[in-house]
Amino acid sequence: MLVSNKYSKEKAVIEDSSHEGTSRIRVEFDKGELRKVEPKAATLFMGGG
Amino acid sequence: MIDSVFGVSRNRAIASLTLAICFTLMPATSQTAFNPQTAATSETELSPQEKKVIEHLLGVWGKDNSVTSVDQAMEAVGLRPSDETRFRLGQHIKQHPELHLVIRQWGWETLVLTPNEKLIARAIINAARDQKPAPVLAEIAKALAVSQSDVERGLVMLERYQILKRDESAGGAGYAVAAPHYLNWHPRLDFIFHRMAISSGGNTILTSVN
Repeated sequence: MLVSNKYSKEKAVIEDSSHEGTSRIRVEFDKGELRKVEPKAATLFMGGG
Repeated sequence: MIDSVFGVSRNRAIASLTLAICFTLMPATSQTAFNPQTAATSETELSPQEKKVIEHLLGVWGKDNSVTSVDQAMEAVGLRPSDETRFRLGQHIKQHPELHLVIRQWGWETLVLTPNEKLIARAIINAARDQKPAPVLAEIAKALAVSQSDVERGLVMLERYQILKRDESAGGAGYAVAAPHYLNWHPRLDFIFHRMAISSGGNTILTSVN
């Protein structure tokens, strides 16, 4: 929501992790658009209210 | 609105969840050896600069689902990175859940630990929870893509917070879970982080969201 609204004109880097273990996940958005997901095996859902 | 949500599998619903990640991973394993430190139990007196960090956190927590962490707040107020300072601030937050609803709602661990420390905790706790051999230092370092000295630093911090305790009989890195309740935490919710760095007009805003 923040990426698509409040920060929709900015670049946002999100750092997260798998809940099951210790793998990191990194996602980059630029102006609300998804630019990069690492690792590529991460499943990304886009949606929301 | 777009939620950037990575396939998440959480059994406990979190209505305000903005980001969720579901990523199947290999359980980390590893082993370590390093210096013990005692956990501070007395009331933590904060310096004026440290109080600014707390004031910053109290000002941002809860806004836009913020669960901004201590290290992010230290950077925001221009405080030099320091494990010792971060620990003092963390102890203060741990000792004062009355300061803010976010502490009581998300737990002090969510706010005071760094991502590395959270992942190290998971590596040790998940192994104990699953009754698997404790991971060795090198395994944790590899799983987290950090140096072994970074893992050692994290283990020291987790010991100081009394989340882990030195226990040579535990094997692996030589640490065991200090507080049994961590073994019973919901596996999908323990030691989580969703950090954001927003570049805006030459500035970078650091935050964490729930």
